[in-house]
Amino acid sequence: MAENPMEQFEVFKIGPSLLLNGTNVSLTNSSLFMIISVFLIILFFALGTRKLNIIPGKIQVLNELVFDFISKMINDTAGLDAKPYFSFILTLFLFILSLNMVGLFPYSFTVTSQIIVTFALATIIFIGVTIVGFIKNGVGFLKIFVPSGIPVFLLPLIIVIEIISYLSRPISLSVRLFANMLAGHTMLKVFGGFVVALGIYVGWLPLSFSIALIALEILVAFLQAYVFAVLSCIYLNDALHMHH
Amino acid sequence: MKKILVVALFLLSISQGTYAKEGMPQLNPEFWIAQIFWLIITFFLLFFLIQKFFTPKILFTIEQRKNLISNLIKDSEDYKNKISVLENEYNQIITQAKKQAIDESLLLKVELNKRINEKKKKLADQLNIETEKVEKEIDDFKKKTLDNLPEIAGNFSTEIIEKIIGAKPNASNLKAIISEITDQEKKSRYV
Repeated sequence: MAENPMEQFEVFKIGPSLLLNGTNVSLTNSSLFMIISVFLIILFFALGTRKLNIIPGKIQVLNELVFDFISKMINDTAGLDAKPYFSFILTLFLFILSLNMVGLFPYSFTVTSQIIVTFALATIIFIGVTIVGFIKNGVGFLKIFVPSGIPVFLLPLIIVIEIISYLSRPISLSVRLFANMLAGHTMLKVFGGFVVALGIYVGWLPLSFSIALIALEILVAFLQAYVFAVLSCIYLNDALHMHH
Repeated sequence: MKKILVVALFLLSISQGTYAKEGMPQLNPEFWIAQIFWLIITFFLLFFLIQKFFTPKILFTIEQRKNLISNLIKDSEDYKNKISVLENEYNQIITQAKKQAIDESLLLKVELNKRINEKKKKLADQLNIETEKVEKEIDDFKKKTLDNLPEIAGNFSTEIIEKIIGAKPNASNLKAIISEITDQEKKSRYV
């Protein structure tokens, strides 16, 4: 009997129970892979910055490439005013990328396929951007809900639409990442099941699909991390520059 | 037969096993708080480390490299300017030197021609004097030879005749004969 493709997304406790003010915050398989991902990123930077040279080594080049990539992305989407948020966007991008990539290894766990994780991340962005908006523009930040050049009689309707649009940002941001990772890994599992079920004679067909899917998933893993970071930058840009 | 069996097994697995457990485990709220807790801890720990340690280090290195490169570019531009100034000076010096060399070579050529002509004239004069001298010597020698010729011819004829006939001929007769022949010869040559 083939396995349930959704089984891979089950979260379970690892080790002893951990309670914080009566709330269960035990270490789970999801938490473990978050720690592993963070460890890999720290290792990547630790190796790259161990011996910094004017003429960089291989890992230092990779470090600097990532820095350059994120720096350009922030400059293109949010401008120079967003420079102080560079470390945050870099952390966000690398964290999601690492979670996505680690999830592609067999017998690992894809943390970003958990809606609560992506939603929590999107909420952090949403709250952070809103706070930045209010700090930068004061109460004037509320003008973001009032587009310019709109007839007065349409304003009540438009403001409601804008508020709903603004509040739906964390939902769209989180569901996009979650759905992409969920769909990709479910497909991989289903095709993997076909390979086993069809055996050696016909199994090569789903196997070749699986290989192509893995390549696609690597692309999606990178792309979704990038999209998440770019959209965060765009939201930050709205808060910093108030286009409406 | 085997293929049919495999397809049958595949269809059986789809109909019975694949979707046996329905629902999305992600929607089970049992570990939501735990996941949010660990997410916040890991994410902000990473953010702290990147913000505090890695970003300053890497940005400092990048900045240092940029400064070094801009300094090197500035230095190279300075050197380039200096080189162009030196090149202009060098070209000016070369042009002046060429001009000077041409002028001097022209002067030298004129001077040299003058000296050569003087030498030629001097040599021609010397040659004329020497030629005249040699010609005079030749004439004197010829004259002297012709004057001595009767005596030489007399001695020679005496020896020959003595060898032929075994007795010395009369010297005065011989001298007269030779003198007559020599006079005739002189007359035939110089008349």
